[in-house]
Amino acid sequence: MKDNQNKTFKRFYGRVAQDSILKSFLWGLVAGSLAALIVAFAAWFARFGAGVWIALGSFIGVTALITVILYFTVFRPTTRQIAEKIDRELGFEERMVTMLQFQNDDSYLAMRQREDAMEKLGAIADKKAEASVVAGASVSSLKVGASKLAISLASVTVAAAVAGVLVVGLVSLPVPPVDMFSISYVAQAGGHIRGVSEQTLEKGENASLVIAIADEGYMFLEWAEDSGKNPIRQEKSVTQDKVYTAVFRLVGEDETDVENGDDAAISDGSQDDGDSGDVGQDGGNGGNLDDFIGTDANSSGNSNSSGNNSNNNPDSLWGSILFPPENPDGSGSSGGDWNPDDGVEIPDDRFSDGDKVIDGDTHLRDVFEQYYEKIQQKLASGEEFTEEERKILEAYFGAFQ
Amino acid sequence: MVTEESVRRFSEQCREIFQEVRRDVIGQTEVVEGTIIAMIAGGNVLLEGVPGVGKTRLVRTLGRVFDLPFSRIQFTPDLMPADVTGTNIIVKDDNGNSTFSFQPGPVFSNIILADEINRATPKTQSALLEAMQEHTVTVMGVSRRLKEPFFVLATQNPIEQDGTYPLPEAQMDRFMFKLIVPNPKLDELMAIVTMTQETMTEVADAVCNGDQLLEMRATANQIPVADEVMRYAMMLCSATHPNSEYATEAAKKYVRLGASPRAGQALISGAKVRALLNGRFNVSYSDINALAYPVLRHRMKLNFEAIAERVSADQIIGMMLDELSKKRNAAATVKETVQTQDSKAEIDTETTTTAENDTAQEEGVKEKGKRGIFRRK
Repeated sequence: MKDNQNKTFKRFYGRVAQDSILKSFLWGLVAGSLAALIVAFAAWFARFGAGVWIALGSFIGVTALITVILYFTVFRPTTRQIAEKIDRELGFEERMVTMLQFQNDDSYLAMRQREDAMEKLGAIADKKAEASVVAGASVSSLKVGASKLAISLASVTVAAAVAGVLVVGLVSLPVPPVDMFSISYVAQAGGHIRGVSEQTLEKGENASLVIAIADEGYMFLEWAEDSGKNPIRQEKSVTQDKVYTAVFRLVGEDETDVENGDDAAISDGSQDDGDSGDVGQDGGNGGNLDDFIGTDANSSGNSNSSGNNSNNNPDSLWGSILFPPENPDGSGSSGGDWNPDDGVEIPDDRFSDGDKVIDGDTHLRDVFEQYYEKIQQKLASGEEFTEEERKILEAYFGAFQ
Repeated sequence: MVTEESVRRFSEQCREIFQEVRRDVIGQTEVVEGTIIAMIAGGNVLLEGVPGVGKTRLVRTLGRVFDLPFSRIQFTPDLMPADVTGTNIIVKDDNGNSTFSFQPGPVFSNIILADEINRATPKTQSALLEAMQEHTVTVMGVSRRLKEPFFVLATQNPIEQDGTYPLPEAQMDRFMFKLIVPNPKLDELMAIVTMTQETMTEVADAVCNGDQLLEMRATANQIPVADEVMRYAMMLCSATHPNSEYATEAAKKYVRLGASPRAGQALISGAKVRALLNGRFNVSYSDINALAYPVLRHRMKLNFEAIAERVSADQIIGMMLDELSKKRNAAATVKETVQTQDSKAEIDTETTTTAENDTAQEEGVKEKGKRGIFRRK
């Protein structure tokens, strides 16, 4: 009899266990969806590119884990539960439960009760009995399971949508706070900063290009913080707050600099350092870059290099520009060496009315004709300069050093 | 020790008992079944019904069927306790000396019909208390044991209010069941009248004696009860108490005092007998639910709200069963649910011993299938 009992319960156990697994799985889906949602938010907040895969992995992992845990700790059917289900669904009036409790009782009535229970069960076709028990159990489970399934699917859908949206960035959401730094460019007396002088940047971002432009009678000396000689400055990968101070000096103020030739007589416009000689552009028509920059491009990066330079050569572009034959030679415009000791000041009428200026600086529009507007705009907006434009700027402003 | 033979005899005797009772009592299936269950389980029964529905005839028939000495005590307001228990009288012995001799009262029998028990004074009613519970009678300090099996089958009229004394709770608690005897249906009434026009003689034969009844009791007592069912029965009893942790909403609202532990004993004892009567060898929830009404209806003290809203004890029991079924299992069997609902639905009104008897007198007791028509085979 006991063997028959065990067989009976085993027969139903599998089917009822499936029901329990289904319940566990549905709860697992709910938990997995929640986990995926949390992970997606975390990935978005951390700006982690592979967030969607992590969210998916979390969903699968948590679902599986919760399913297993719930099945073995909560939903796994016991023999007693199966007996109760059989009694309930088949209308056995607690025969199976009583049989299970008194299975070790050898009294006549207990034995008779067991026989009665098994007879009753045997009277029902096996498949039908199983189906009734499982169906009855499943009907109630499905009613609950349907709601759980709906919740699970809704959770999964919402989690996936939010995860996708967040990670892919389809929707503009408020950017979480990031590290911001400020870069400031200030000019001492004798010049000003052209470009965006106060810039606020994210960590690792590149600043926009600025130029330290000397006023008339002055020349750019250096950047005080790092002694950089290039008036054109663009910070890369900003990681801290910085202030850069452009230092200017009067033309001819520092005799040592003059002797070293690294001072450019900007104010007199009659002399350039060697870089300006690199510019070999036809000053009248603003032709192509090569022409503009000139054949001595090797010194283009040294806009403030000292020493004699071909800029003083009136035959060079800069020479023709800066030392037009018709201009007085007060600043050495004839192309001869300019000696600041001469104390010659740049006459006010150094350039003709036709010369265009950029905010008061003294240079010729012709040089920048094809680049003028664009460079104007970019300096004002802080927009990134192309390589070509940067070379032009460096070449040009280097000529004033 | 219960054997196959004893179980077989139990089944046979039950069949014969019902068969013989139906010869003299027409209808009243649930009342007959309830009374027989109580007698097999060893409990006392209170039968409540309007005059003429066959309460006394039923008890007399049962007395004949069980072949047990039967005493009828007609309770009247002037009935004295000694009239029930007996008393010492002075007699002259052979030598002419006067001595006290105990003259046993009608209670010294196996089956006592206490007719219209609510007409006697509380003092007289209390005379039955000891006999009902302990099956002993104490007169002038001397306790005398009553013969087994001993039953008290009391009747009372729910309509009559003048000159009646409601039974105290202590005595009500000693009745295992309180059964409502309904009015007969039309066809049953016709059969009764037809039969009684011919003869009023009772024809039921004895099919079971006292020893056999005791054996049946011992057999039924061995029926196994699963822990869940036992627990359910006890929860049902606890649910009648408004301050209990298992109290139902109905109990909290309508009950002043719940059932005593005797209710739990009555439930289980009666359920065992009922299960065996139905050919089952275990007690089920359906047995408990079916016996909840006769066991609990007279053991709960209703509060004023129940009286004001005219909510009967049976309706309250129905609500409790509903609530417990839902709590126990949302997927309870249709059988149980239907049984509970049917029990609620079939009780439209109920005669009570409260001040609402005016309405009860007009409507009477309406319960499906509870009719008392006497028929002769």
